Amino acid sequence: MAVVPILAKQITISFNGDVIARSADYSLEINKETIEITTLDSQGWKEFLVDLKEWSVTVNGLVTRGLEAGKTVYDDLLQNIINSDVVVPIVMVDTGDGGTINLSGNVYLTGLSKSGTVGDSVKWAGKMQGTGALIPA
Amino acid sequence: MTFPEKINSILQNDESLKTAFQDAENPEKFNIYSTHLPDELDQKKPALVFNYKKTGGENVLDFDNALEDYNLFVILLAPDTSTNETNLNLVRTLLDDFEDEQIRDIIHEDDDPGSQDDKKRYFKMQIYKVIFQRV
Repeated sequence: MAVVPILAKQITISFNGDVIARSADYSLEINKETIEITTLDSQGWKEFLVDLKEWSVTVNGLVTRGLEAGKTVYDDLLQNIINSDVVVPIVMVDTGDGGTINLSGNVYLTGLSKSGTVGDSVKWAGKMQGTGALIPA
Repeated sequence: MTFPEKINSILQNDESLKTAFQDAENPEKFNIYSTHLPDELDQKKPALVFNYKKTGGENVLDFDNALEDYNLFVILLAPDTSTNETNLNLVRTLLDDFEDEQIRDIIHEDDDPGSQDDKKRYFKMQIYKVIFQRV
């Protein structure tokens, strides 16, 4: 199959089993830490070993009213960050034809902000810290 | 309803605007037009013409055009400025507080008065920002 760019809207993000409704953009960051092991024998070059990996997700969206079956809305995220310290599953699925980039793992919702300006919609921004492995499938 | 259909419906069906722009010689006719004025319009009669332009909106991953932003241009024409001001108040009264399931917000942003000396009439252009939701 030819290489085809993916559009942002072909990715769905599910938080705690439900697709996040009206999300506008997202980012996934994966970092791999390194430990420096440079010695006098390193011939002038720094050397490293791989240490631990971590990952996090940020999502922005529109604050909404109402409910939609199978969807997570801002109020659900608000309840989670205020009332729950339990880790929840997150899944990012590429819904395009032939898509194979599906990622899943567990996260804590660690940040949630809401903002609005007269003449504009109200928006929210969420930060999720991954815990444990991020698993591509 | 699409935005053009919606704004047409609001401006063409409002009773206060219909009264203000009713053609005295032809009571079935109202000088409220979308896009452009007819060539044969009597320049001595007040008229309203409106147009719009999509300026943006909110697109989200699970819903195209969740909200649409438009600039609505409403131009009032009359042979004198006081008629224009009276009609301006009617339009502002109608639009400033208008809100329903689809028209989520209308904000008056600008006013631009002027005159067409060759046609001996005055105009007043109002610009509104409209936040529209398709349902």
